[in-house]
Amino acid sequence: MIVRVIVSILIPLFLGGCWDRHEIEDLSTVLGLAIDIAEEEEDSSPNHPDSLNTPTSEIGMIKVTAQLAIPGKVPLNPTGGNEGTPTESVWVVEAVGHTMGDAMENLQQKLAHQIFLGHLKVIIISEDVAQKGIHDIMEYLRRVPDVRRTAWIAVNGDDAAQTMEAAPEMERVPSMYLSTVFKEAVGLGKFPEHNLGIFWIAESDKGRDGLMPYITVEKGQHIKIEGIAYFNGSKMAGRTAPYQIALYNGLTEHNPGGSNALINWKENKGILVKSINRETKYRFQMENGKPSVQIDVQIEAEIREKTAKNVNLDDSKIIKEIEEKINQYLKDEYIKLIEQTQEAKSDIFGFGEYVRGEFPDYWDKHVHTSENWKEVYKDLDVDVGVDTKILRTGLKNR
Amino acid sequence: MKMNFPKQITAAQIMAIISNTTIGVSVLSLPRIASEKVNTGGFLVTLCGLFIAFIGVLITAYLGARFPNQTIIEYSADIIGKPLSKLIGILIIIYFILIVGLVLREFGEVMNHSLLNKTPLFITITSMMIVIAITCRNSITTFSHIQYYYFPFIILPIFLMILLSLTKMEIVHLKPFLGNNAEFSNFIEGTLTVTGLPFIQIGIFILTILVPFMQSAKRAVIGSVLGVTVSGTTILFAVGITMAVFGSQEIGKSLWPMFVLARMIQFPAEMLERLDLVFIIVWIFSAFTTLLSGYLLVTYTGAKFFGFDSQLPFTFILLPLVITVALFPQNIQQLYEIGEWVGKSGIILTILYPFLLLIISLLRKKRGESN
Repeated sequence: MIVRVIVSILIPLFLGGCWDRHEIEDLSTVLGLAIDIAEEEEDSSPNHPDSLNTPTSEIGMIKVTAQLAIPGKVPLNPTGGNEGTPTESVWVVEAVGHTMGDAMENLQQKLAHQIFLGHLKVIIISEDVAQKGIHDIMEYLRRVPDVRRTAWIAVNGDDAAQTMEAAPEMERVPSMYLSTVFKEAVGLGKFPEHNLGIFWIAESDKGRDGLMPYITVEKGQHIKIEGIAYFNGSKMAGRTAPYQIALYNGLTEHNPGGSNALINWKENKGILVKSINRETKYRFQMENGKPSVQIDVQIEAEIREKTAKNVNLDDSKIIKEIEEKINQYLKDEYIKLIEQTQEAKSDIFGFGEYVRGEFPDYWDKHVHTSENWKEVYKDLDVDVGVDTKILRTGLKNR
Repeated sequence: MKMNFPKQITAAQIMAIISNTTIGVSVLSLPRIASEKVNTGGFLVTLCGLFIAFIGVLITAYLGARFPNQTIIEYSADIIGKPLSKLIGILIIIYFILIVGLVLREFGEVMNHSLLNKTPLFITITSMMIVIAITCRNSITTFSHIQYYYFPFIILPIFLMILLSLTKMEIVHLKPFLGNNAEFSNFIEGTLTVTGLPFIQIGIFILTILVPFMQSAKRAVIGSVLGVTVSGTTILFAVGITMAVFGSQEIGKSLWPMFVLARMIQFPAEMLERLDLVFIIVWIFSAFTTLLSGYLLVTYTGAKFFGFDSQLPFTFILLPLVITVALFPQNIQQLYEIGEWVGKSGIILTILYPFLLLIISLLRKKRGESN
């Protein structure tokens, strides 16, 4: 009996471990990360001997700018007192390195506490970095177990680092505001759901390319989504205009609708139509050994505004006519967007995945790799049919 | 035949034991292993692998039903003679010591990569193994009760994980069903690798020691069929959803794809933000139940081999041996290389050998005394 008691007291001593104990104050919690190309040897890397042989990433020296949470300053609940203004709750630190991992090590060198990436909300890369290729950066982020796939990754028009300095007054933690910008945009139908994890999947798929929100910072305050940055493999191939985000959402059946289109009726008088819901179907066909796709988009919409005075909305024939106009307008715009991505060889719609799935024989024989698919995609026959149904016209009669 | 142990295990408990055992940590890497050579054909490979496992379980169950009061060590001596059966018996014991060690190591690696970065591997492994050794000192009936208790805690969270991931899946990732550029030989190889996964092997063989404790040996067949069906469906769904969410290319890039999926889980409307931890803990349960079955199998078979009546003398003696095996591979790469090789060659012992025993016992019209 006594032996049992002693053993049962002793065993728990060995079962508990305190190797992985973390005090939250002793962690440098990174909330946001911005990645730029280092302009010159701003800081020579302290972790290597000075020699020309130190390898760099494919895009050269990298500058990371991290937004760190200051313990005690980050409000824990939305109503909790006035602990600090946005600029006070975080600390922005930057470091330069030969590669992504090297830069992070150098960042660690500047911080007393261990870097913790588990709460990383947003990663901003500059357009330069995106255009030169993000393969090496992604390689690092994939390897670190802390990074969560629900983080957002976006391209900033010029300097990524300034995004970290931006301090909107809406939220007390700037990075939180940034990630809210993206999440709300998804909720309102202003941007497709495309966070880090989804980008990785799209990047890996042979018949698909990734995309990111393209943002700009105005006056250090406003953060605007300015379009879709579309990629060709790991390199940014171009970007769309902001209104084309809605078109992309329509073509890929991202709901809710939420986007408006101002239809030109007559003499520059227009009708504002808002989409509610979309249903999109792809039909793939094989003709003469070449794939082609027919896209059918069904849109449920409502009329929000009418500045054209000579139209009365009390006639179902008129509604039909408006629908026809929208169909034609959207069809042209859809095709324009698709052609734009075809030119850039960036299959952000994932048509290649469908071709791979539906016609494995063709894929195995003629395509096989994602590079080949990009060539095929460039000349892919795409036809779009749009069918709009106006369900509501608002409270006003006529 | 002595009848000094209670025959209490029910078919439902057999079902729970087999399900818990066949759902182990290795399921986390299963989507990657299955789709490695045949990309989108990974689902089919998993199906085939599980089907072979199903046959394996059926064989051991029928064999058990023919010799309702004996374990494999005892009835194999009746069927093929003592010297040969002893030789194969010792191979089986060594094989399962290796398997348990490798599963243990995989568990340790998962923990070290995700939750316990700084804890030495030795501590993670040893503490788990001590708990298992202590639990193994219970009778086999208690063992069944423990497994029965854990059953819902393993199955339900996995189905919840599947349910919550449904919105993220893309069916096109599962097409074409036969894989792009996959040859028939790749399918065979993939299938064998899946069947050779350690948790499936333990699941097949655990029956050989349980049958003597069953209320009626015939129910062993029913229980094991149910068990494999439950675990097979769970594993298939889980592999299917992982493949549908990530696609075979992305799966190839991560070490434990299903673990990544578990970490991605968010409740609708972000009710609880870091719920992913719950799904990580499920894998600790499943590792525990798999290792418990495996270790009981080793100790009990070992005891029978040396003529003891219970596993008690071996529960602590084998502990250092299993931990040594677990610590042997230098890194994960080596672990998976060794694991694949050991697992594939183990199919001979766990499926082919019982199958031969069954055939010979049918030919020689041998059967055990029934009660």
